[in-house]
Parts: sequence; structure tokens; C-alpha cells
Amino acid sequence: MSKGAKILVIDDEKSMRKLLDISLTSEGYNVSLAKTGKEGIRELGNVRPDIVLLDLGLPDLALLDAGADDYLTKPFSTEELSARIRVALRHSLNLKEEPIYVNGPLKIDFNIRNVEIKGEPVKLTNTEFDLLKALVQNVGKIVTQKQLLKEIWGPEAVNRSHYLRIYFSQLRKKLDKYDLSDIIITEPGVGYRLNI
Amino acid sequence: MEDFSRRLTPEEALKIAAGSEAKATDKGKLKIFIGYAPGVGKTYSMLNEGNRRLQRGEDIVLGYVESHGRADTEKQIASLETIPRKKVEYNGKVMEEMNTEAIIKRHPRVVLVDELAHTNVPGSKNKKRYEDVKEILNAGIRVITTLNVQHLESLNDIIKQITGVTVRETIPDSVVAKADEVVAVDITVDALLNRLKRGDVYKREKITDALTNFFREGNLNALREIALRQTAQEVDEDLEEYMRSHGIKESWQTVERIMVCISPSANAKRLIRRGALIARRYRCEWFVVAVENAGVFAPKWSQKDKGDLERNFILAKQLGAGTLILFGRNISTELAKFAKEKHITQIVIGHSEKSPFQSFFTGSTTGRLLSETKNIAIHVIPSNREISNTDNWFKMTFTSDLAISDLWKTVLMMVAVTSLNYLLRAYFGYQAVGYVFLLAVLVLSLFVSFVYIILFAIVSASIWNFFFIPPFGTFVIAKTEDMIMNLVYIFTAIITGYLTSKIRRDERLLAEREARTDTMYRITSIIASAKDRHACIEEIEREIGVILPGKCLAIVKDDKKSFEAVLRKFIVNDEKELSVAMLSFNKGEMAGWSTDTLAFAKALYVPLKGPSENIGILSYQPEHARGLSGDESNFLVATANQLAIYLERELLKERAVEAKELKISENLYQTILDSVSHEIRTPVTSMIGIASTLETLKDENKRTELAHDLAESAERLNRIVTNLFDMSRLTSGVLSAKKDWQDVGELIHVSIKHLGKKMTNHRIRVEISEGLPLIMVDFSLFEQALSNLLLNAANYTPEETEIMVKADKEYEKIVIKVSDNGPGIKTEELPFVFDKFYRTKDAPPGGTGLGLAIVKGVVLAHDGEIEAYNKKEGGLEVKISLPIEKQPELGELLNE
Repeated sequence: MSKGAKILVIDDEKSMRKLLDISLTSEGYNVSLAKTGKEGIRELGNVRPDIVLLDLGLPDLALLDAGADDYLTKPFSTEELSARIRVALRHSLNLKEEPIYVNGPLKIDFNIRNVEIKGEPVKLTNTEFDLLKALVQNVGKIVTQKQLLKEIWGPEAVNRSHYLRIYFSQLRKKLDKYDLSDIIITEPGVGYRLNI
Repeated sequence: MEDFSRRLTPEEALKIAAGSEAKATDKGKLKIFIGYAPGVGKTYSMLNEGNRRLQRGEDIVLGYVESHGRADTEKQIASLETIPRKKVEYNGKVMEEMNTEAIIKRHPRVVLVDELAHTNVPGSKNKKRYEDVKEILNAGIRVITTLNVQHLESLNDIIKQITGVTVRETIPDSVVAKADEVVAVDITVDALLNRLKRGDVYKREKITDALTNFFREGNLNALREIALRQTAQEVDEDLEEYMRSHGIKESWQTVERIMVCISPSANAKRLIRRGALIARRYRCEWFVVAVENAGVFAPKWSQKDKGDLERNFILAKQLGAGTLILFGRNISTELAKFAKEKHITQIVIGHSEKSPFQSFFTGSTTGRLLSETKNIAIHVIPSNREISNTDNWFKMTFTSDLAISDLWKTVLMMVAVTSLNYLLRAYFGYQAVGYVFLLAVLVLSLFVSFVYIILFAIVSASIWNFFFIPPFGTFVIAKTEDMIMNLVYIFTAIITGYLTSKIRRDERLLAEREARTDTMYRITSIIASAKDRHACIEEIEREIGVILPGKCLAIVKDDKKSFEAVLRKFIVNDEKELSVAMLSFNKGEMAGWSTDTLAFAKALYVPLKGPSENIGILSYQPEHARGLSGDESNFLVATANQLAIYLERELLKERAVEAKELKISENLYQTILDSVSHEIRTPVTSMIGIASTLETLKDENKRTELAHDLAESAERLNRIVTNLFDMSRLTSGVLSAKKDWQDVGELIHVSIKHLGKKMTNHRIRVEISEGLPLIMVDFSLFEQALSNLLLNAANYTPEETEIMVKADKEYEKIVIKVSDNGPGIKTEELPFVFDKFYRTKDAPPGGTGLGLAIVKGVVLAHDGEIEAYNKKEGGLEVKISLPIEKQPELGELLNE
């Protein structure tokens, strides 16, 4: 379904719309275009797209917290864009939760809170496990700092970003033993993403 | 011996600093043509200079000129560009004023402005034209202007004495003192009179009038002398300041110190102005002193007097004097004591206002002062007030003593004691009765004023005589010893009463003085110790709130907004209240609640009058409805005054800093524009070229190649833009908002990861110590800094060599080192590598010279340090040290 997926592009700049139209169409997507937010909303009803590409002046973090899947800052390469689109499409198709998650060398059993890498059990603390789980459940997608803090430490902890620094540092160290520290990607000022 | 005088006081040092700065760069220069009367040719000279400058090619405009219909003048005006005047409506009439905003907007190099002392139509932004001129100067425009000497504040009295004309339009002497150039426009009095008679100065019908009033020959001669002296003095002062700032000491005169003795009377203002004039001439320290007399027969200060005195002191402070209230039974002794303590060399005192009758009993203060001081010159300034008569003296002395409640107490005591004595007479005899009366006098003197004690003494003596001393029922006294006893009783009673009253009055004055000193001390110390002006204002507001229950606000003007706009933030939706506050600010007088002006207002508004301008207002909204006592409102005025002096100084400082910063940032932008526009143009040119080639090119291979080049140019352009953006973020101070706790390891890894393809030709080795504390930084800025360091290392070293990133803890600092194995940097170039736009001699093409400057900017913005040096084993190492901050609370949740 990846090919032929419907993408709605909302951007007020003509050259940008044209570029995205050409490059995404050439990759086999079904592209529709809108100049303004208002036009975009109308198209949303007409086309029922799988993905919306929306241009914002600045990366709007509130929007991410409100449920956007991902963002890119200008200037970006079309390669990076289509990679992100592929992840988002996969994600949107794959929403149901399995009790056991396997991806490459990583195997997680959510029921018994067990993590194995390359067949070896890895000992994680409860918090480390919860962090990893939150990323795994949104694999490929940014999970904002706020979301993580709220989910794991509760709403009153949303500003204590230093918790994340300390735990991700520990978690990375444990993953590093298996050369996997790179699977957790920091999106500066925004959040974290699992890339596997 | 007089050596202390040669040290600069801090104020002098500041003045010199401010002076040289202002003269060197930011502000426009001020040139004043001073004349001694209308018609001497000031305007003509000004216009003449303007036309000369115009011919030299200078950008010069006419801001405001009044030709008075003089033909010569009008001819001169015609050749100059004129800024149209502003129309202001007042009382239904349309008046014309100088259009300051338009002048500043037009921004010529020089502007000509006539009549510096002019008072603007009410409702204009500034009250006085010299304030408009200040604004223009602050905008960096030179001003050439004219002034008649009689408008100088400190000359006000003398001019009045000479000419009989009260000059209402005055300007502070400081305006002239701060001018960069003062030129006297002088013609002989005869020539001026000729001009006048010819009709060159005024229209025909006004000439006769003028000749008999202001333009009398004697007047003109005196004015001319004053004007010439004044200009000579300005020259002197400039020389003086130059010598001071260059440490030249020779020309110092003997140290003079002036003391002006005043009372609350209206005459005091004349004395103060005279004192200011003398002090200015000698450029010396001076004091204005009032003595509150503690004597029982001395006139007491009413609340109005105290208010008047406070206002006199405000004038004195504005003219630069130190002010003080002394306290004692003998005015001349107190003055002499103070003069001795402060090494006063000259005393200014008013002619006695006592009547010959009073002087006979108490002597004249001036006379006694003469005999009590040595080596002090005393200037006695005649009073222009009618000599007060005895009634007046009696009223001033005793009015406050004649309280009705005291009368009741006296009568009650009289009745009670007489009745008691009547009962006791049977047991003790009539002589002992006298002692009971005496006791009553003593007791009574503790509660009532001296007037009633005298009354009580006389009446009780009569009662004693009439009812108790035989023969009863008559004022006849039979025995001689009884008569003596009765007389002794009267005198004893009066003397006792006098002594007790005196003690009570002393006590009251002492207590009042203590309270006053105490409060003023607290206010002064708040101002002296305030961290900044906001803290100071808050503290003072609180302090006033403690003494006077209610809400107190100090509202300070803002150079960027009109005062009305500032007020609207504090006074919301209350046009009436706003208008009262504006009135107080514009007129520089108290208004609103508990005053005579617009008393309907909810709050009292006291202007914050600085030495040269109104800084804002102090508003006080009372908790209780009862009006303020004189003391209380004096306290508010005094506090407002202290605060205003402080605030004006702060405001001036801020303005100077702002002007300087603006200049610096302007220069920076210029440099950036100059050097970066070239850098931007290069990739843009190639992009345009490639794009147009691609349009027609058919060869597939070449197309791919060109597309690749296009991407590369775009990438380069992107890098430049990012650098500039970061630089401007760094300089604009947006930075602090985004600091957060970060992990050093994460920071380094992310930076390296984001560089991605740009670093594929080098190996990067990362070493991070275990257990490093978190750092408080802006992640993206720091990432940019590290990326710049890594890119720099990659650009300057051969491919396939290793770049090393280390993070560690050294001497209580977090240290991040980026090193390479390249050729390093020549020692002589090392100190400059972090400078903006600096590029080493063998730098590869395509950089802006901003990369390392940004790194340094980022590090400094995080209170860190940065250095670059060549390693012993070769290669460059850049070391960043960051302070370790107090680590955040981790909470229980982390205890795993």
C-alpha cells in the first residue's frame, strides 16, 4: 500500500508545492496540493489522504504534542523526506500492539518486561524499560520529551527534562555493549525517536 | 593643606566621563549664541553661520526661526531648507511650534533653532524648547541656537533687580554649561539703541514703549556686562574641565565653600539663587541651611512653613547644593558652629526680617554671626518683603499655643484647685494654700502651653489674694510678708511654667527631628544600596507604605513611549485620574487627593523632579479618607525628590549605554553586511548559472553532474545563512530562554551524527568520562558550536586522519576538547582565530570566518571559557571549559 498512498501537501510557496509534487509523484505517491490551510481542510474531506505534509513557519512543538507524527526543518533533502514518509506510512498501517516485539537484534516481551538483544537477556531498570517501551511503541516516530515525562513520571514531571538525560544516558550505555546505542536518536529540544 | 580639594569627586569624574563621551560620539553638538538683549544679532549670526555651512555643502535645515519681520533676517532664511512648523491648538487658537519629530525624522547634520528659552504651548510634548533641543541632540543632530542672557535660571533675581522685569521663561544653567560652544553676540549699547530706533528690532509702534521699559541704557549696560561675564565663565569652565580630566592641577583657586542661610520665607529662593551663582563662579561645594529655633519665644514653623522650606530645599538640590536643617536655641551660634565644621568661607544670609522692636530684645542674627565667625565673608542680601510687625511676631509665636483644649484644662484646674483649697483652708491656714496653687501650676505646665501658665499664675494669685489672704473678699493685703509671698508666687509660677514649656518644646523638636532624620536616612540608604532602579523603586514604595498606609507607586517615564502611554499601564480605564496624573507630571506640581489642585482624585500625585527634568510621578492612594498632615505630605515630597535625583542619574546612565550599544550594533551590522554579501553572492551566482544551463542541456551525465554542483552550492549557502542566524541569535540575547539540563555525551554524539556525510572523510574518536554531571546549556546552539569545531578540524586536516573529542572533569569544570592531527595554526595567528571574520592565511576557500567566532560566542553565553593551542605532539586542540552548576533535584523516583 506504500505505493499509491495519498499525500496532501499544504504549502503556500509555489516552488515548494511544485518540487514536492514532482518528487513524490515520481516515487509513485498520489499527490494532491493545497495553497492555504482552508483549502487544505477542504481537500482533507475530498481526498481523505494517508499523510498530510503541512508547512509551518517554525517546527511547532505544540503540534507534535497534539498528535503530528513527525517534522522536518527546512532546508531538507527529498531523500530524507521520503524516508520519513515511508516510516509514517508503515506506522499508520501497523498500530495494533503485539505482546512480543521483535525487530532485528531486539526482542521485547512486554508481558514479562523482558528485553533480549542478539539472544542475550539485558537487565534494565523499570524506568529504563518504560522509556524503551514508549519508543518501541512509536518506532520511527518522534516521542516528545513532554510525552515521555508525562507517561513515565506523571503530569507534574513534564518540566524535569533532566530525568530523561540521565536515563537515556544509562540506557544508551547498556545498548552500547551491543553496538546499538545509535538506535535511540535525540531530536534536540523536541524528543527522542527509535530508529531500528 | 588644601590638598583634598584636588581629588576628583565621583560626580566630577562621572561628569568628565560623560562629557568626553558625549562630545566624542553619540550626541550632536550644541552651539549657543548668547546675547544680552533682543536685537543684538543672535538670530542673524546663527543664520549667517547656517548659510556659511550650507555653502560648504553641509546638510543643514531650519528648525525654527522667528524673523520678527526683520528684513535682513528674512533674506537669510530664504536660502535655507525649512522644516514646516507643527500646528498646536490651544484654547481654540491655533499656535505654531517647532516640529521636533519631523526634524529628527529628516535627520540633517545641523539644525538651526531660535530662542532656546521658549516655552511651548501647553499640550506640547515638552514644556520647554530646550527639552526639544535635547531630544534632537540625543538623536545625534547638531544644534545651533540662540539665547538671551536673562533667561538663565541663576541670573533671574539679578536681572529682576536691574530691569524690574520678572523673566518667566527660564532655562537651567546646566543646559548652557553642557553646550559644546558658547558664542557671545555683542554690539555696543549705543549701536543697539540705534538699531532699535531705526526700527530694525521692533515694529514702529512698539519702539517708544520698548525704549522706556526694557531698553533703558542703564539696563542694557548691565545686561551686557552680565552676558559677557557669563560667556567668559563658560570658557573658563571648559578650560577647567579640560585641566581636570588631564590631571592638570596648577590653576586651582583657593577652596571656597559657601553656606546659604535660609528660613521658610519666600525670600529664601533669592538667597539660594545668589548662593548658586557664587558657588558656580568658584565651582565649589555649597550648602543651604535652615535653623529651627528651639527658643520658647521664637516663632515656630507652621505646616505651611515646613512645606515652603521643603520646596526651597528642592530648588537648592536642583542647583546642586547640600541641604540641612539645624536645630538650636540660638540661630547664629548654630550657623557659626556649622560654618566652622564645614570650613565655610562665605556665608549668604538675608537681611533681618525682624522689626526694630524685636531686634532691640533679641539682637540681629547677622550681627551676632559676624562676631561669632572669623575669616568668613558674609553677604547680606536685602529682603524685598515688608518688615513684619509685632502682631505678626506674636501670631507666629503663639498661634499654635492657643489651643482651646488647653484653655479648658486651665479653667478646670483653676476651679478644682480653688474648691479644694476652700475646703482645706479650715485645717491649714491661708499660707499653705499657696503651696497647693504652686503644685497646680507645676502639674498644669506639663500639659498646657506657656501662655496659659501665665494666665493661671496671675488669676490664681488674684484668687488666693481675694478669697484666702486676709482681709477676705478684697484685693487688699494687710501684712507686708503676705504681699511679698503673693508676688513671689506669681514669679515662681511663671518661671516654672517657662522652664517646663521649654523642656517640652525641646523634646518635641528633638523627636520630630529624629523621626525626620530617621526616615530620610532609611530612604537614602535604600537608594544607596539598591541593586538596580527597579529594586530601588520597589523598596521605596514599600517603605512609604509602612509609614503611610495605602498604595504607593512610582511611575517612571520611558524614553521610547509617551508618559501618557506609560501611565495607562498603571491607571486603567480612568480618564479623570489619568488627567490628574498627567497634570502633576507636566506642571511638576503636586495634584490630586489632599491637595488644592483637583482634590476629587482618588490618589495623590507627587512629581518626581530630577535636577533637569521630570522623571515621572509618585502616586499615593490612601487607605483612609483623612487628608495628609503637612508633615506627611512633606515626607512624600522629600522622598519623591530624593528618588527623582537618583532616577535621573540612572536614566542618564541608561541613555548613554543604549546610545553606545546602538552604535556598536550598527557597526557590527555594517561589517557583517560588507564581508558576508560577497560570500553569499558566490554560491548564488553559480546556482543561477547552473539552473539556466540545466534548462537547455540535453546530456544526461552532465545534467547529473550539474545537479550535484547545484546541491553543493545550496549547501554552502545554507551554511552561511545558518552561521549568520546563530550569530544574530547569540547577539540578540534570545539564548537564555532555551537553556536546559543536558548530558555531555548525548550532546557530542548528536553533534557528530548530525554532521553525517560532511565528516565521512575523517575518523572521529570519542572519549567521555564516566559519571559527568549534567550541564545547563542550549542544546542546538551547543550542537552548532561542536559541529563548527569538528568541521573546522576536518577542513584543515588531511583526509583519513583522526579527530578526537574528549569530555572530562578538570578542576571543578566540565572540559570538552576537540583536537586534530593536522598542521596546527601559526603561533602569531592563534590569538585571532576566535575573532569575527578572521580567516587564517592558509584557509581553504568558501568560509565566512564566522565559525569559530560563533563557537566562542556560544561558550561565553554559557559562562564558559575557550582556548586554542597547538599540541606538543602536533595538531590543534580547542578546549572548552564550562562551570559545573548545582545539579537538579532528582526526586525519589530515581532511587532505583
